[in-house]
Amino acid sequence: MTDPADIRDDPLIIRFRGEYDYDGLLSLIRGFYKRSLFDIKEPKLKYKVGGTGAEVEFKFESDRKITHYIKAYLFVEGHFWDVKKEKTGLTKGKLDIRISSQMELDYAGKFDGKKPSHKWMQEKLDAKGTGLQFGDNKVTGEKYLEKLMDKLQTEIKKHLKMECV
Amino acid sequence: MSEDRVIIDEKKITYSGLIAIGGFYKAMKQELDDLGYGPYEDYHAEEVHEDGKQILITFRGDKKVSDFAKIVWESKVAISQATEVTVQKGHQKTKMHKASAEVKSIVVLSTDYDKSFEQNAWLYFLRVVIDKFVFKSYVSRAMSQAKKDYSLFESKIKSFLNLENFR
Repeated sequence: MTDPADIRDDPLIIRFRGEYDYDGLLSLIRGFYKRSLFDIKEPKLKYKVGGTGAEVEFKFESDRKITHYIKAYLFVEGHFWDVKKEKTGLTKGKLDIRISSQMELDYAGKFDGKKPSHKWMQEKLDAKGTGLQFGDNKVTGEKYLEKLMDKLQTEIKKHLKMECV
Repeated sequence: MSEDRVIIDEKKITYSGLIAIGGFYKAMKQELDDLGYGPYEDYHAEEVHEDGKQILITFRGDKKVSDFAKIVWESKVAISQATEVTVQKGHQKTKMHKASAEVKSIVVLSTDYDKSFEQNAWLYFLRVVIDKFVFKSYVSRAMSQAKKDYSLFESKIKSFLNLENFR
């Protein structure tokens, strides 16, 4: 069993200041997780009511067993300021959303170093990114998660009606 | 730690005038994709201010030249004071923006990026010798590839922006 490795060094960051649909945005993120067949958990949700509007912090975590060997994790962290619904039904404020993901190989621990050949495979092949199954790990794990993160980023930008989509 | 050589050090492309922001963004992303860098947006910020919109984007990507060297690309795009204008093109009216745009790019050549020559002092010494004497031609070829890629990117962006000038 290897420790989950980050797909990208830094999370993808989206910052926005303007008018947006707050409820629609959270529904979009939850819906994306559901469509991508990820089991979503919400370990963090802070809602602080202030003078200019509420301050909201949340974190979505999820994981999915892609194959018998690869497990994918997708995290979304959000921080919203001045959350206050206007007469138009939209919220005028600012937000910061961070999207990150991780990949874990041999999550079930089937190749947990009990045999020398398993230990060799994990140290020399998986860790170095070589071997016959490297291509499989890269395509079904790493590339899949990269595409997923980019897709979620694009959907959020479309929802916020950003210029550069 | 891999050895990094800066090939393009914060070269800027600046423009002020009419710009189709969506088309500009797509042109940059498409060009980086066509050059093989697989770009992604590390940072994307859009803010509405009194004097117009401000958009900040950071594109990142890399291209593996071989199993020893890769070219790492970073472009920071800053579009400021973007105000919406309607432009008449023949019989059609299109939405554009009057803004100032700046694209700052850094291109770095990274050798031994998977750190296979850093396991002990002997391998590290071997890397320095190989880099200096054996792989010199491969490294210089990779550096010229990176410079060529940047000049292609620069000409594509400039031709897109120049086209906006003549609309």
